[in-house]
Amino acid sequence: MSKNCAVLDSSIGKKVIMAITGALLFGFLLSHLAGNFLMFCGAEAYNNYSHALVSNPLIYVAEFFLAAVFLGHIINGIILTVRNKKARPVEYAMTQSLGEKSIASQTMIWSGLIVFYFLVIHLVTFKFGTDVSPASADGVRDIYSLVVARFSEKIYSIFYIMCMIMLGFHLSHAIQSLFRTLGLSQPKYLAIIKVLSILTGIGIAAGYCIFPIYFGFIK
Amino acid sequence: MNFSITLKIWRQKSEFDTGRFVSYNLDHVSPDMSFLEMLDTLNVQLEEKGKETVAFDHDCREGICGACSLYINGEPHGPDRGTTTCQLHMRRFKEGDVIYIEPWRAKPFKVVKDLVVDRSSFDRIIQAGGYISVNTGNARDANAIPIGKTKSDLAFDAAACIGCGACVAACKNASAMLFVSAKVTQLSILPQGHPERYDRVSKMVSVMDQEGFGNCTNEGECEAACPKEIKKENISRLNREFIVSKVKSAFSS
Ligand code: HEM
Ligand code: FES
Repeated sequence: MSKNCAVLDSSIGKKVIMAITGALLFGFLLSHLAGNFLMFCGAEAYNNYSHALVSNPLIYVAEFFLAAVFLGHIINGIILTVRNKKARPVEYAMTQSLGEKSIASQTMIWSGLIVFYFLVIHLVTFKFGTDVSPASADGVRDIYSLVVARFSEKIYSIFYIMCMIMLGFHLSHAIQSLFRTLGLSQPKYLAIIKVLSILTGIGIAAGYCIFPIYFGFIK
Repeated sequence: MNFSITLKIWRQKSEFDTGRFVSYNLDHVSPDMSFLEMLDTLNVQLEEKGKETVAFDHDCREGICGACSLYINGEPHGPDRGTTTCQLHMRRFKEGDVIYIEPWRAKPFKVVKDLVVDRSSFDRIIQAGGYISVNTGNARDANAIPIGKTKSDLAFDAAACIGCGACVAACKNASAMLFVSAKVTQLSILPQGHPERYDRVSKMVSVMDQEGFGNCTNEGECEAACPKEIKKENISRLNREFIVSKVKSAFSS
């Protein structure tokens, strides 16, 4: 194996990839959430924003990059999980939690895979979905009405909310883990970082849940 | 007051045997016995009955060598924090207790017999980089190189690692990163360890991976289980040293 491949295959190398791709995905989550809030500025603002995004040729570069980041995170996450399982072929008859082991930290692969499943459904529903009302003359999709229509189906909204809770769960362990993986955490800040990590998880989940709750249950 | 307990001990003839729990009742256990003395007592009784004794690791029996192990009721080195199994005493248990005793379980720690596992993978990690190079000749003056208090304390705390493997045993991923990070920290933050600093971390992590240990997922079980209370912040330092070493080597020919 060449020198660089060996780094990418090493335990810490793989974890660093998880941390960097995770941080990039988190950045994407923030910008996507900011975009969502345009829903509250009315259909036109939201549709125009969405149109401005997809009609910019740079979107292909951005989408390719995002897909690569997602794939890198998912593939490495699966490889790491498999290797970790293999490192303990025989399980203990009895174990106790001594440290900070939490449900979130032990189920990263499952919360991650649920988020991935959600992502596929999400793309099929919105990006490649059939609009409920036709596009305007200059080709602006009425994505607003599509979102409102989907969220008004209570089942869809509930599914969406559950997935966002899983995402929040993933992040509650992930954010502090990221700092530690990259060697950025200092003992005196760790307690704060851990609290911020949980708050970030709750914040992101709550932020995304506003829309299905508003359009599905309030409006 | 002496008391009676039930032991559920993992018995395994060799690496190739599948292993199973065997139950033993032990009476007249004194609260003043150490945990290992309790096992000695059991072994004397087994021997008297002509049965095979239980194999377990031990050496100094004073908490400094790292030979003893044992996963006792779901905890490496048993219920006391910052304590090795040899320093655990039976006063921590009471009449009627059922005590499960298992070996460290990790792919690189093959069971040799019963509760004894092969920890030579740790030796190979040390051989890969856990040393400093010193010119031969006269012994040097110990204080020739001044080292600040903070650094020397950090290095000393990391050097307290006795290499028992409790961190691996406790980690859900059987990761050896607390052990490796303690060794890397101890050597890399002192001037004496600087010449091999980045080479060391790279080689030690590489052997750690080859041996088949898992990856740290930052869950802190290792720190809680460590009889020498090695801090998990060392793992962060290990990551940092590793990243810097790889970046450096990418930019040098
Ligand atoms: C937008 C979505 C996602 C974000 C923001 C995200 C973020 C993160 C971050 C920051 C980490 C911590 C890395 C570290 O410990 O240094 C992480 C860990 C992890 N993620 Fe994700 N993730 C996302 C989606 C996914 C998906 C779809 C999977 C599917 C397999 C996944 C699987 C994992 C696993 C298994 C870990 C633990 C890796 C380890 O500690 O060994 N994640 N994630
Ligand atoms: S026997 Fe030496 S540390 Fe326990």
